[in-house]
Amino acid sequence: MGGFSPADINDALYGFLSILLEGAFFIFVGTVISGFIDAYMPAGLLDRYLPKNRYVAILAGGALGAVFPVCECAIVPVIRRLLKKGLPLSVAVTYMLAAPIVNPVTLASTIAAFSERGAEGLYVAFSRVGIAYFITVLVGIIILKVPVERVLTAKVLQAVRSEKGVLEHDHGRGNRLVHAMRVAQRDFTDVAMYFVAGVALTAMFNAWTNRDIISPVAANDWLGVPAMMGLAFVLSLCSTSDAFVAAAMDKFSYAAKLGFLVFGPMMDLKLIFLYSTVFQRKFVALLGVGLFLLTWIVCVQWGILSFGT
Amino acid sequence: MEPKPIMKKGPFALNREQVCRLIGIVAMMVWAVVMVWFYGSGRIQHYIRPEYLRLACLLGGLGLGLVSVFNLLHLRDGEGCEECGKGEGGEGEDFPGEGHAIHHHHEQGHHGHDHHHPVDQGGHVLCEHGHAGCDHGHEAVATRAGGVGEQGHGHAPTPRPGHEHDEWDTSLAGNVAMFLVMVVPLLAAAAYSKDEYRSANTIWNKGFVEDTASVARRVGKDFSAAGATAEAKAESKEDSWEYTLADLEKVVDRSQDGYLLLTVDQLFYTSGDAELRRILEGEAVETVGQVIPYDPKVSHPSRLRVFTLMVTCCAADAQPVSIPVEFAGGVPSFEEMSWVKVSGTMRYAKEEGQTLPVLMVKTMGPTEQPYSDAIY
Repeated sequence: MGGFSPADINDALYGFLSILLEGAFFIFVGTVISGFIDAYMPAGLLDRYLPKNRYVAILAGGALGAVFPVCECAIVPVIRRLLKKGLPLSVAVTYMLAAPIVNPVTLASTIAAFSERGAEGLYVAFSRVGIAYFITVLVGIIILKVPVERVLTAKVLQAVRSEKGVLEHDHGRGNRLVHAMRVAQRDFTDVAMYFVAGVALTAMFNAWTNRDIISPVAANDWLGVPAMMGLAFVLSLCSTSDAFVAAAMDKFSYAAKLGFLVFGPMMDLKLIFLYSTVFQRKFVALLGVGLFLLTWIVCVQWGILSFGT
Repeated sequence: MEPKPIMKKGPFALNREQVCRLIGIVAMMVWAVVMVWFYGSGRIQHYIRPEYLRLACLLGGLGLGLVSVFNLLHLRDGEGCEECGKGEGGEGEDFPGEGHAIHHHHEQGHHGHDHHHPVDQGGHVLCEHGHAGCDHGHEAVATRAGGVGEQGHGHAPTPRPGHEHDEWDTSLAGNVAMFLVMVVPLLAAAAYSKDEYRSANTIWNKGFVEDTASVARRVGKDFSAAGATAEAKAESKEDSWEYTLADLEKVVDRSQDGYLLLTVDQLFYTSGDAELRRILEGEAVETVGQVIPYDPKVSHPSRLRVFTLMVTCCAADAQPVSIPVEFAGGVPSFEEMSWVKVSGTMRYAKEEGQTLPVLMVKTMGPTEQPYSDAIY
């Protein structure tokens, strides 16, 4: 790759703008929701409706995306506010990781992307959701043992601890709306800043990295799966369209494609930045490594069990 | 209680917190305007393919506009917190970290706090403390914040519950940094982007689609036997019913010179279908696409490629689909990435275990970028 010509720069700008314009709406919706959660949700509500048994709550959290589908961009501000309203950390993380995959929209687009492969394709699409659910629930259970001070940023932690609900004070309806809109704005500008950084990096990788770099390892699943996962990490595609990109990468096995499709929506360049608005850097790194290893092993084993390769 | 620093004098006096909020409002408005304008001007068509996502861009822009206007109108409103001893529009700096961008990281344990601020030079420039090894335990928080001597302001040791008026609300430097990050890249990209991929490198980096199954979803139905009636199918025995050129002509147009008008992805698709290959072998076809060398490294003596982009959601997920075009008299001069109309004869060649849909070129000439569903 010699120097960067103006055409190369243009292509990165072009990709940057396309991802930004596509994602902005979803971030906006997420932050409006978070604003209303902050202003209108009573602090005890989650306690009342969540299953008392933590394990059941985690299992429910992983499936919640089916009812409340959220895309990976929108989920972070929502999670931040839900944590402040008393959502247990383990359930929050499970929902956050699972929702972009375990939802009807992603399932439908994955089915469509693999529709040419018949029954096999259908199996792959459902496996995506199943594997994601399994991994996210596992992560949630592990997080049960982790002290919350090591996970959340100081700012969020303080808010979680001191949160007695803005509603404790009688603000009246009008002032509550003002508060909701201000929180929405603050969350949007906060998230947008990190989103821009993440998308800029991703756009550069998207335009300037050759997909064939990982082709040599396509044949071996133990290498092909993590290679595809690494590609998913730098491409940071949305979970509604990544299936089509994965489906077209013919040299790679289904296991490798699943690695791409399961790891990408949970951890990518864009998300690293977004997560850091809620989680400590060390935790994000550990989570990334943990998810990488889990997805790697599970996908390779799935490939062996399903296709005997 | 000392009054908050006033940022502007006169009838529009605003305190620091309000100025910070105003900065955020303007940043959101910029996004709102850009998003709505992209949709209204039609420029969005070059970036996002599905209509519902284009609409989302419009709605997002309008929504952002509404929220920012609302917040602007209510800029000075309190949130009814007066009874706690602090109002939004007034004073109440009894929160640690407020208004002290310089020292805020001493007020809180800053694990993952401002270190994730991609542009946090603003607040930390004047700070004489290094950040390496700045690993304060959280227990240290309260004592540091509680010192009355710090900055000469009286600080309450802990923040009031339910109010998070932390340094984000009042850090001027932080908000200006946020504004720049939000506004500059967006406006720069909008100003300089040419609304299409310009570099052949990008196309080679993405890699051409190799399996016809990947385009089947999109163009397979284009070749359905639309003309064949149910009776005609039932009349002939099922096995021997054949898809013929006549059937193809019912769904595909011919140009004035008699060439079958097919898109690049349709032609690519045919290489994977035995029936279509049989019909199109030797047939006159015409297609439109962008021209690129056959191979990025080696210069092929007689072939180029003509490609088109297959887009699902946005330009970033575009996948190039190409067919080889062959010149009997050797490759002519051409402009890489330019749009061309190519007409000639189809020939299916078996090479290295693959069946290639080669277009034997009669004429190739520049043409206008066509409007099509696939981004361009």
